[in-house]
This record gives sequence, C-alpha cells and structure tokens, in this order.
Amino acid sequence: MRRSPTRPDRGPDEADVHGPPALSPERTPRPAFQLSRRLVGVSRWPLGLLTAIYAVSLSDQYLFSSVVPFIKHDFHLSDTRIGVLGSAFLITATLGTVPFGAMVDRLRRTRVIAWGALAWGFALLANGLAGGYLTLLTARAALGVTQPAAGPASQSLLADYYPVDQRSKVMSVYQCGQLLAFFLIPLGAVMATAWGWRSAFYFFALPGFVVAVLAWRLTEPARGAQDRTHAQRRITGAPLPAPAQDDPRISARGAYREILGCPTYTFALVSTGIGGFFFGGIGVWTVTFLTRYHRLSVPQASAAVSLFALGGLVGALGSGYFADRLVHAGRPAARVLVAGASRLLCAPLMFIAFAVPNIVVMLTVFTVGAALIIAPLPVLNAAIADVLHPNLRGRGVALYTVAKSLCEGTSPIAFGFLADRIGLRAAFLVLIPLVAVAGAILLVFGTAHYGRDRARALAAMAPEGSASGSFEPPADVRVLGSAAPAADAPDRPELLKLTGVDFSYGQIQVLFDLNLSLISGGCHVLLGRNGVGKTTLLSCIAGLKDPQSGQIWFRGGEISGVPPEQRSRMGVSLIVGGKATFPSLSLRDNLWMGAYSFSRDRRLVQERFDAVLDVFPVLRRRLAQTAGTLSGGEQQMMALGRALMSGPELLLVDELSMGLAPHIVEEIIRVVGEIVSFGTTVLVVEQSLEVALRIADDILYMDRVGIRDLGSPGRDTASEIAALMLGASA
Amino acid sequence: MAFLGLVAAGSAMALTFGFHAVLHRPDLVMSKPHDHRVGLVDTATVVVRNRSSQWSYCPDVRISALDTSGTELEAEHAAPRAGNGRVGPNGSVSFTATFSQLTAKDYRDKLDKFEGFVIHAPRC
Repeated sequence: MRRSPTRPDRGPDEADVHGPPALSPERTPRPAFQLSRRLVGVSRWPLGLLTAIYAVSLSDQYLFSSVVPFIKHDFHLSDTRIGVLGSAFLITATLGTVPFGAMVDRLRRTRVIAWGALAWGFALLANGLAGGYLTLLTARAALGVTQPAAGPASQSLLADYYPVDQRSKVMSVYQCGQLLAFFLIPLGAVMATAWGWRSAFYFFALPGFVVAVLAWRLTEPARGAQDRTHAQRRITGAPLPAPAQDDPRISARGAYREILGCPTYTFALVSTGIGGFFFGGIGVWTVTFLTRYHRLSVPQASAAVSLFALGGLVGALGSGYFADRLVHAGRPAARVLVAGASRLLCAPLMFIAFAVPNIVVMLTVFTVGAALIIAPLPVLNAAIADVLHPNLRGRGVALYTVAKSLCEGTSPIAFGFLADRIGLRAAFLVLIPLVAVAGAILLVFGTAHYGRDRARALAAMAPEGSASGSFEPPADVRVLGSAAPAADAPDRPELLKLTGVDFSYGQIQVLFDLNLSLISGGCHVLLGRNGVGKTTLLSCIAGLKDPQSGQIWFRGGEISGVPPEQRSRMGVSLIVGGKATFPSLSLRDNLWMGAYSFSRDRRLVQERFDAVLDVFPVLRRRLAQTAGTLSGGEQQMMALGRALMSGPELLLVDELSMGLAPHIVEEIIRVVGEIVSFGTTVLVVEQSLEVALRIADDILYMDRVGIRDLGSPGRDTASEIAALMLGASA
Repeated sequence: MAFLGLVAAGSAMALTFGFHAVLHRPDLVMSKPHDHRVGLVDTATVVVRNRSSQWSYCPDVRISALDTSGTELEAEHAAPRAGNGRVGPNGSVSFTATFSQLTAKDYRDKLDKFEGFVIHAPRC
C-alpha cells in the first residue's frame, strides 16, 4: 500500500494498549439494521397500476350496494330477487377464481389481466344496459366471472417484478387498493341520484378499459427471476440470467397436491380460514353491535366503522415495512412471524373492544385491532410467494382466496345463529378466540416450516445443469459478508460494490450500467473528464440520489433504497465540494453535527472533538467563529473534521482541493493520510492530477463506458491518465 | 389488433351511453328526504323539482326506508303536502310519506336512510 511521506505511522502496540483511537470507525455506534428502505432501482409503475386495477376490480361490489334501491324500484324487484343478484355475483366470483389461477400459471399474466379487465368492462356495460331482471342477473354473473382475473395474476407479477427483500412492502401497497375502492362508494350513489343508476355502470366501466390497455403494455417479467437473483447474489454477488418462461419440472398435474403439500402454505390457509370466521362477521355485524349496545344511530355507526378502514390502512402498510425490516435483520420467517403475532395480539384487543361499555374506548381499541386484522394479509401474500414455485403461485393465490371467501362468507351466518341464542355481544366474545388460534397456528407451525419450504421452492428454481440442484456455493467462491474469505481473495474485503447502476436527470442519462468494486482501506481517487458523472456517482453512493436501476452494496449488504441518513449511520459520509458547511453555525457546532447520530454518547463525542482538533490545530482558534466567515481552506478542514467526527468507514470527498491555496492543499493531503490511518476508506473525486497521484493508493478512471481501475500510481500513470483525458487510445 | 379494437369499442360505448344518460337525465329531481320521528311513527318528506321549462308532470312518488345494504324495510306512497301534486315547469312540490310499520328494533338496528323514488311521471 503506497503511503504519503507525511502520513504518520501508528504502531500496533499503541492500538493494542489504548484500544482503537477515538477517530477509528470501529468505535462508531452502528444501527443493527436499516430503519427504512425505499423502493428504488425498479420501476414503481407496475405496482401503482396493479394496485389501481385491484381498486377498480373491487369497486363494483361497493357500487352495486349503493344503486340497489334504484334498481329495485326500476324493475319492481323483491328483496329475495335482490339477494339472488348479490349471490350470483359472489358465487361466480368465487368459482371463477380457480380457473383464473390455473390460467395465470400457464399464460402470460399481463394478458390475463388485460383480457380480464376488458371483459369486466363489457360486463359492467351489460349491467347498465340490462332491460330486466334476467338480463341483469346474467350480467351480474358475468361480472362475477371476470372479477377474479386480476388478483392471482397481480400477486404473481408483483413477486417477479420486485426484489424479494421488499416483497412484504410491495404487497402492503397493493393491499391498499382494497381500501382505495372503499372511497369510490359515494361516487356511485352520486351518479345514480343525478343521472340514473345505469350511468354509474357506464362510467365505472371506463376505468376497466383504461387499465386493460395499460396492463397489456406491461412487461412480463420472467417467473421466479427475483427469487433466483436474490438467492444467487447472496452467494456469488452476481445475478443469474433470466430462466426460461416454462419450467418443465412443474406440471399442471398434481399442482394442487404440491401446493397443499407445502406446510407453510397450508398453515397460512388454515389460519386465514379459522380467523375468517371472525373477520367476516365484523363487516356485517359491527354496525348492529354499535347501535344495539352503544345506542348509536345507524348512520353514526356506519361512520364509526369507517375507522376500520383507517386502522386497516395503517396495519397494511406497517406490517409490510416491519416484516421486510426483520427479514433484512436476519429473521427469514419474519413474514409469517408478523402475521401470526398480529393475529394473536388482535384477539385480546378485540375482546376489550367488544366487552367495554365505553364507546370511546371501544372505538379506539377497535381501530388498533383493525390494524392488526389487516396487517397479516399482505405479509402472508408475500410469504406464500416465498414458499411456492413461481409456476404455482397463481393457483396458490386462487385457492387461498377461495378458502378465505368461503370462511368469511359463512361467518355472518354463524354470528347470526349465535346472536339469536346468546346475544350479539356474547357471539363476538365467543368467536374472538378463533383469531388467537389462527395466530398461534402461524407462530408455532408456520414459522417452523418456513425455512425448509423456502429452500425447497428455491431448489426447484435452481438453474438447469446445477450439479446439486441447490444454491450451495462452490468451494472456491467467496460468500459476500462472510467472515472467512477464500484462500486466494485479496487481504482486504470488498467494502463497496455497485452493479448495473443507471442514473438520469430527467431525460438525460448520466450513469450507464455502472459497476464498481472498492476494496476496504486506503485512499481511492476517482478521475475523469468534467460532466462524466463523478459527483452523481458519489451522490448515489451516499443515498442523496436514487438510481433508476442497479444495486449498491456496502459491507456485503444491499443498501439500495436506504435513505441517506441511514447510510450515514451505517458508515458512509459524503463531503460535498463547496457545500460542506452549515454557514450560520459556529465551527464548534459544525463539528458536533458530525456526531449527531450518537450524540448521547457524550464521552465519545468529546474524545472525537479533541482528536479532531489535534488533527486540525488551526481550527482551535476559531471554534466560536461562524462557519460562513471562515476561509475556503478552513471550511474544507472543518468539513473533513466533521466527517471524522462521524467516524465513517467510507468517506466520499467531492473536489478535495478545488480552489484551495497550495499550503492548504498540503495540509489537506496530510489529513487524508491521517484519515486513512484511522481505518477509514476514502474515495476522492479530484481534479488535480498532481494531488491525486500524491494521495492515491489506487486510481480509478471514469468515463461514459464505465470505471477502470488503473491500480496504484506508478511512473507512467500520469501519462496514461493524460492520454485518457485527451481521448487518445490507452 | 382485436384487443385494441375491443377496448376502443367498449370505451366508445361507455362514453356514449354515459353521456346519453347525463344529457337525457329525467326532468324530475328528488331532494334528499328529511324525516321527523315521533315514537314509532316516522314522517319523511322529499321535494320534487322540475328542471323542464316546458312540461308539467304529475309524478307518483314513493319513499322507502332502507338499511345499510339497501334492503327496503318499508315503502310508502308519498302524497303532496299541498295541491294535487302537479309539478309545473321549473317548479317544485313537497311529498310526504308516513311510516308506521317500522319496529323499535328496525329503528335501533337497521334503519340507515330514507330514499325517494319517482315510480311514474306522466306529463299533465
């Protein structure tokens, strides 16, 4: 490793005796896992569209109930005939789910959704054009048949569009489509009142045609692509090529046997079914409960029950984010765990809600309970995608939906039967323990089988020609993040890795399929012509900008989508050229800001503060001075000092010496050597070739093609770089 | 392509029929019913407004008591509060119906709203 002549040597004995120096990154408190992660590097359009399709496909169920009175009077229908219309829709929707599930596994899913949405649109038109009871009944049945087209296909697509480690969050957003449909209810009633009930069907058909076209244009992802990528990258760091669409090892025959033979899936099915005996009754009987036991009017009770939607929204979104966070923290069965825990915790809350006489307490606890009722839905959808082969997901989701619908459909009957005998409150309290049983099943059995079922699903997806048919890495391949590198690996582990990173400012693409591998330790200098994207690259690494595609890895873990403040706590710091100060704060406060993330550890902060002033003694005289009044050199030293306060593992510096006087540049060069000696890896963007050659242990050259590692600076490095800059062939 | 053709046809039909419904909306418009309850007897009133500046109508109005799922608990013929129920051009008339069949349980557990309907509206 090339060292600057001004870089002080620190003997190993000194560190052993006194522990790591104050400014060593080892002493910086690090979070155990990321607190949040945005969905980046992949297009959000499919998720948004499929969520909208989900909302649109459910909207008719709410529309029909709001126009029933008008239809009844127009066609002079009895309540029984109205009931038959409702049942016709539910029966055909339930039965239609199964064949759609099979279609989803065999055909292009985007086409299934597109044709299904088209048929749904025409069925709605038929509803509006119905001339009498029989034609309306036929139209309702047709609508029921087409309605399930989207569900199994969408969930299968989402599992293949988006990364595995964000699957729960993606399903959470998708689940919100159900709640969005809720807000369309008033629209149907307004149309029916103003223009007649038929107009509501005509106008509600339009979104069906729009989403049909949009779904047609969606790219069909390869089945299982995300699972293969996720599994293989964890082993070798490289994704596998997309597999063939048809996997001959999974045949249609016996598919359901294979699905039901997956314990995690079966326990999820049983849990949801058992819980459904309670959940289904809530929607039907809670209004009656509130009017009967809390003396609310029906409109008041209906408004109060809308809190269920609010709680559900929080539960749906929260569970997905939380489950993914736990998965990333090393709990692979977190999805099943979160679902089971939610159901188990929901039981006592619902017991309290339906037992207490106070309406305020009831509604408060009920809202929280609603969050826990909805919370398992998206994470279980994600878990089902985890444990089923991609060619079985359509049928698996369809079967799951049918079981859920059947149990929730019979629940109101059970409630009514019990209510007639023991009272409605007692009926609620008697059925609530089913929710706890449902949760316990998932916690005990679901989590126990998840790991094996996931491994079995991945093994079935293993690439053709794989010797073992599994993802066991070959002996000579180093596993990312492992403590024991392979024998021929370099002494220092890989600290930073970028794969396939693209970034555009609007229509102008700056980074093109960029790859970078940075070894831990030393000072790496990045050179390149103006406008090639060096600053953008640093911003992407720091998290200030999100690449449109590609992944970024830090210490073996993917940090794509992790917000910049989280990356800072993980050990990535960025000094932005010319903008690295808080000009209105004093120099002292600027330095203290570097330790913001662990400011409670006053002792460490003070130690570092004193150590930074030892590195930059010139700053000692100006601690009380406003940072904006410091000279350029002093500001740069202060920025470096603030970065040292944060104790980064990777320090990114943009424009280290630009605009600084020569004697200041000498000082900066000395400091960079000190920073590296503390154990921090430095990546510097530098315009001055002379400075770069003096500080670099490793030179990287960036152009439109990519980043080249030119190695340690040697005698010919300067001329090689000059040639590259001037555009001549190397 | 067949798919796009069907989408275009469906969209055109939806827009055509939808705007036809908007443009040919009925001349008679019903207000939201107001009700007044004494004991187990509820009286609901709606105002029927005539948007036509040309025609008069003699509507047959019915008011229904509905639960949250739209099921009818009771339906009564509504009589004009004054006059013979003729709604002149740009005019309006109040119609009232009395509900005496609803039980205490209906009021407590089921009744969600009243909704008025014009069953028949001949010109007169």
